Amino acid sequence: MPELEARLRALAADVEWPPTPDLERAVRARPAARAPAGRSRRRRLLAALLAALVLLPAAGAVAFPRARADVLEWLGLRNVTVRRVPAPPPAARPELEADLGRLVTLARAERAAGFAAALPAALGPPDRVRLGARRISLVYAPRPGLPPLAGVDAGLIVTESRGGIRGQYLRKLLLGGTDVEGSTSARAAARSSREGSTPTST
Amino acid sequence: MAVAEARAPAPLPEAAALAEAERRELAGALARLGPEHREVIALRYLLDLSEAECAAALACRPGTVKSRLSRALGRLRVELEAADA
Repeated sequence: MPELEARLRALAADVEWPPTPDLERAVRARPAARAPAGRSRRRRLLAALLAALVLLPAAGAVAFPRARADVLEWLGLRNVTVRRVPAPPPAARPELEADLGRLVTLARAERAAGFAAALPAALGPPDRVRLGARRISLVYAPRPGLPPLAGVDAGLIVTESRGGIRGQYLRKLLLGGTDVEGSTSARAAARSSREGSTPTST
Repeated sequence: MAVAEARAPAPLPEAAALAEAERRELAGALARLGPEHREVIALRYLLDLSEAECAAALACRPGTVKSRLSRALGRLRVELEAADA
């Protein structure tokens, strides 16, 4: 074997590899999620590639502590912080929010829905407004006090509709885990009393 | 009964220092390679993938892996020689 290749292989031997996870148990635990053979192999190789990109700086960091910054830089990771968490956060699914209706301004949503939206006083105007069939959804981005909701890029979604829908009927239309509670605001109550309707928020 | 224990002799301090310097030099040369060259060397030698597996991981043909690896090793030699000069 040429001398340079031997040196590279020796370099690999110096790498302190992380312990191999119990892949067999993980795979057996979710047979339904098993991908077709071709995809599986492709994924394995992709994992190997990712492992190369991740472990290469590990090799440098272990064998050459003083070169750590250089190694991170040549992989473009100098300003990246790696944090270990028990489980990755759920990936946002844009289609879930899109189901609430099209993106519009608050003024346009109020004109189209025919009522003034009750804004949470503590939060003020929402980051996004979606207009559905006679309902307005106020979408607030995650922030301190509003941790991300599962599956959507939002910390709070307030959906308001005009009329007298009672909570128990509304609950039948919603997915599990969604709270329904009545609320009023001076602005919406004043307008709804003039028009003889009751605003309902979820 | 005495039991003999085979133990690899510890390297001399100066040999260990030289080996460490060589590894550092090699890592430095790798650091100066372009990402495409570093990637193929990492897959082939650090992860010990076959050329076919490297080709699958890089989404290219085995022949491309061979030629890319050859160029990467050539570039690495140049970098090492430049470091020695």
